Amino acid sequence: MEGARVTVEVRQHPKTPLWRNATVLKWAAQIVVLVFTVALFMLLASQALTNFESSDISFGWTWLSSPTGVQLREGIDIAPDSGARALLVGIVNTLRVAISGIFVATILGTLIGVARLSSNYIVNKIASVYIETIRNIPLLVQIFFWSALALTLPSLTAEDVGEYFIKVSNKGFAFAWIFPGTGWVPWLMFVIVGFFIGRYVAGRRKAYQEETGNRGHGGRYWSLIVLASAIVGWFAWPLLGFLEHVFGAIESFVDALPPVIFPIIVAIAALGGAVWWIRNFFESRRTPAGFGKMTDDDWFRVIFAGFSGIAIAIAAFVIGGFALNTVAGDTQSVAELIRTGLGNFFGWLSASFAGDTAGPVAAQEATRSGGPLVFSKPAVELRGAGIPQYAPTGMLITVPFFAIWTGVTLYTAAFIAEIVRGGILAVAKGQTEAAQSVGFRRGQYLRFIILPQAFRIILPPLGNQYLNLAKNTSLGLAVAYADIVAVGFTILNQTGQSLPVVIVWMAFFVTMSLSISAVVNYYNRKLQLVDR
Amino acid sequence: MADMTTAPELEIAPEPPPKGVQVWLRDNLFSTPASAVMTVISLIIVFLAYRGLLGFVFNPGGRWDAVTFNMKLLMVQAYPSDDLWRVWLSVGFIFALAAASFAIWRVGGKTEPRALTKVLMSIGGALVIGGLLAPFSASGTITWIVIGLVLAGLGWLVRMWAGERSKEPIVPVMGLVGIGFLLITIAIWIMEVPYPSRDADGGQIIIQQGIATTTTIPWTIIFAITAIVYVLFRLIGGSSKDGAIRGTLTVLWALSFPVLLLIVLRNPDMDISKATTFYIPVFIGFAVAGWLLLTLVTRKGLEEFGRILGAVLLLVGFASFAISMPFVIRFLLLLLALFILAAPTFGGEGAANRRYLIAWVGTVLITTVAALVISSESLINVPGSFFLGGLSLTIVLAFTSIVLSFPLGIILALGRTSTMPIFRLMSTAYIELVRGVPLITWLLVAFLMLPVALPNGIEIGGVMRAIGAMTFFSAAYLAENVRGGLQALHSGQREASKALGMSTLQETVFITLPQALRAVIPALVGQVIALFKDTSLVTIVGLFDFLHMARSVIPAQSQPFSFLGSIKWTLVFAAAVYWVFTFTFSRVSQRLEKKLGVGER
Repeated sequence: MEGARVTVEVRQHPKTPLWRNATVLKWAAQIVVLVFTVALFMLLASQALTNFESSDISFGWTWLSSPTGVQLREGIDIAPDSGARALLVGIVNTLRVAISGIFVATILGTLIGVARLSSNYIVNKIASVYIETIRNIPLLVQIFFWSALALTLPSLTAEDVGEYFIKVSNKGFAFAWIFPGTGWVPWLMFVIVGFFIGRYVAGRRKAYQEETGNRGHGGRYWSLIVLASAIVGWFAWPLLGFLEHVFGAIESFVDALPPVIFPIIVAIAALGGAVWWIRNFFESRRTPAGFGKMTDDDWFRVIFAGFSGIAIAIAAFVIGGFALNTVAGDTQSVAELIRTGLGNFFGWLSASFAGDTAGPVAAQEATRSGGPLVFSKPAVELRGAGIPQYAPTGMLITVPFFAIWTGVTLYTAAFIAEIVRGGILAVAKGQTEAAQSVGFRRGQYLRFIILPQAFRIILPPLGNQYLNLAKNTSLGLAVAYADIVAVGFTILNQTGQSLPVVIVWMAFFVTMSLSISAVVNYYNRKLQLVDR
Repeated sequence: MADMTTAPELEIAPEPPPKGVQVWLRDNLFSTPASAVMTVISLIIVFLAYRGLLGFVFNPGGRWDAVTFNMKLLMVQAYPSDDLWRVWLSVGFIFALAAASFAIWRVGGKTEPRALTKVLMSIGGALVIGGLLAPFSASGTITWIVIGLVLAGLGWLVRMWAGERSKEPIVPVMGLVGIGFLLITIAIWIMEVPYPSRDADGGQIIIQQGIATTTTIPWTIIFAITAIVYVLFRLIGGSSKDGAIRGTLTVLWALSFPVLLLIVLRNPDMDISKATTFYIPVFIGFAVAGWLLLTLVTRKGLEEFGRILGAVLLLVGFASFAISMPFVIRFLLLLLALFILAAPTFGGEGAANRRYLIAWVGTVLITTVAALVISSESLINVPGSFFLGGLSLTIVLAFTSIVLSFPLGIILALGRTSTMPIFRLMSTAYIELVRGVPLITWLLVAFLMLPVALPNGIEIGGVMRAIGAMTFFSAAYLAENVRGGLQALHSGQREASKALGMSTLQETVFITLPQALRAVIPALVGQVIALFKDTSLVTIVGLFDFLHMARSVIPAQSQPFSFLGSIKWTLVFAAAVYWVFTFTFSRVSQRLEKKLGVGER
């Protein structure tokens, strides 16, 4: 009927009561669980503190700067004068095994993985036997085995005294090696500059090859430029002596900074990060029709982010203010210690440009009169009560290092071989057939067609294996290799400070895991297939 | 016109592909010059390695007696000899249960005679070559060559017997396993392995040849029982009672490990008065109260009340930790709260409700019995350490950690993929922290820091700490694997279950988890194998596990026989045993994957 009016009744839905509201319940449950967990930790911590007090050990960080009486078997400093220095030696030892192990395990694992796919029956079976044997025996058993094997080598006798190129005994493997000498830091800067110049030139050669189709030989140009800069740097490194004053000036500037700067920087970063996150969150809620509706969940998130930022900022000031004892006997706060450490670093840089320092491998005494790199041969000498031992020249692979390095590398290589095999098998068979029909030989199509495609599939599990290798170096504790876990364990036994040492362990390993993951993820993202 | 397609001279059969040993050699070993060179080099390496291995194993100066004399130490450490029958009983029970399960679930199937021939001839060939390469005496060389030729001849005979059907699966695998057991039994009776024993006066220790009867008799009995049980269950199986038998076997498997470990091997000193005055009343009280409450909350209209009751009971259960009361009562309170909260999902009406109530009673029964057994002292007197050691301790550590870490890992994975930010944050923080730190560090934390952090009066033994550390560690890795499965799940499943009105718990338990877990079985089994290998790390913190026996205890012995310097042989033995276990696991997992059709739609 025309003219009729339609009235619409809008019924107000009653709001769900609070105790049945799903969002409120969810957040209440989360907060209850969080509070419960925090309370549990605080209970354990307070119990630990009371137990500490009753047993007369003061829980603190003073052992970092006071002498701990720890003697280490190997490392850059076998008689460290403070707990922090001992930890540094442990970290360097861990990184030595981890980094060299990652390189060799990758190469060995790739070779074995490719061999596992060989059409040659015997090579295939040898690789298969290797993988099946090594993967199924626990790593610790293998490490003990290598250690027992090395200890059955002949021992050094008085007739062995002298200089050698290679010497093998049950005290370790010694061979001649190259060490950093005076002026190695300026020389290294020449090489690095040459590296980047070479990279630029190689890029230009590659562009030339893309344009004209002639071979650009970018790789050869790069290598030649790096070689040339190394040779130039060998003789010309004193020219960079002016940098000594530059770094000296930076050092004085750092020493003059008020120590409260560092907590301020951390607090600004935390608050800035929280504000940036909240702003991004609000921006993502903005639609062309105006500001979108914020649910309860979103409000909770915003508040949580804000609280976290403020909490981190406050924690920075509190931690920065902690007072510690230094080796010299006076008290400094954490922020002051950071400033001193930073100043020391620039001081060391300045001294190395003056030609005053030799390389970090100070245990092997390289002759100071040489250039940036010094060649050093091992020797056997009589020490103490006429006991033949290796002299501190040349490179010495001790039995613990050999045991842990060989065990960890061979073990990880077996896993990498399986990953590589899986990655190669995952590339479509049509690629192989097409390559063969065009006339590629097996080595060629592996190198140019299969492996580049397989690399995308191999990379995430490969990163995982690198992490495992880095963590497996902690088994050095079982063969008396002075890695971070072994050093921490020794300090723990000497000083009884179990909780601080455990915190140091966790901080180190989490940092190392995050670093390796970050590098692997970076390459992973670069290799991602770009979707529309 | 003549039909070209049927002209007889055009119907020539294609040439058969070239067969024969020369063709195989040419294709596989000498296909290209580079391949030929690699073949020659590899053959030299293989011969040298084989010769070295044989030289090590049969070295006359080898200390294999360190292994054979100390077999009991390696297996059960210092378990009292009078009670060793308990160990044999447990081993025999597991073997019999496995035989019954293999029979009922028709495990094994059949294999091709061709495969059997290949295995026999390759072993025979390896023995002949080994006999020629190894530094044996003349009689030893001849024995090896003869045995090798006999085996190769057997392989040839199998091929002749199969004839045309050599590629069809007609050889039963379980039959081969039975023949293998028979040969092992004969071998342990006639092998000449020296072992020490006391002479007739009980004084001097003399060395006798042949394996001790305290080992041969139990193994013979166990193998005989296994064979009999297998045949018996093969005959029973396939009847109408198959489902009931399978159910009973599953329950037996679930109960076997705790019962064997806690009651048979540990031999608790059970106090009847304590049982009647405390545990039986507790059991009756909770069973009856739980029955009544669960029936109440599943009535129509009372679901809200049920949820509130469940939440209140949960809070009461947690609050009871602040009051001192027996642990078993707190635990039963929490269990009751969980059962009430889960009642709408699993309970309800009719048969499901009855099953739920019976499950409640069963849970209370198992909890009270376990509490009674654990709180009683063990009558097995091993000074200074856990009542087990050696390989048995390794198996206990691995099994307990795996079983305990599965629920924790699944909860963590669900937390990490949850929509609630705090749960996600806490789960991610836990997983990343625990995974980033090596297991040895966690073991050291458990052994060095836990005694400091616990209130006085609560003591956790070394083995418990190791199990705790490995459980928490393994849960983080399992969580990552399960997360992969959860993320691979189609989102349509979740939407469909929401459309049907299922609650989150129902959807998780009945839809999400079964599919997610099935998709990641290879990764889960890989994690189980890795955890078994990682149990060897407890030797660093001083527990007397298998590796500790092999590396530290035996090579340090000097009384009554000196085994100093025998570490190479004990380590090789330990490596071989670990290898056998993990290789078997991985083969079993491959067969399991094939059977469950993982990876197929």
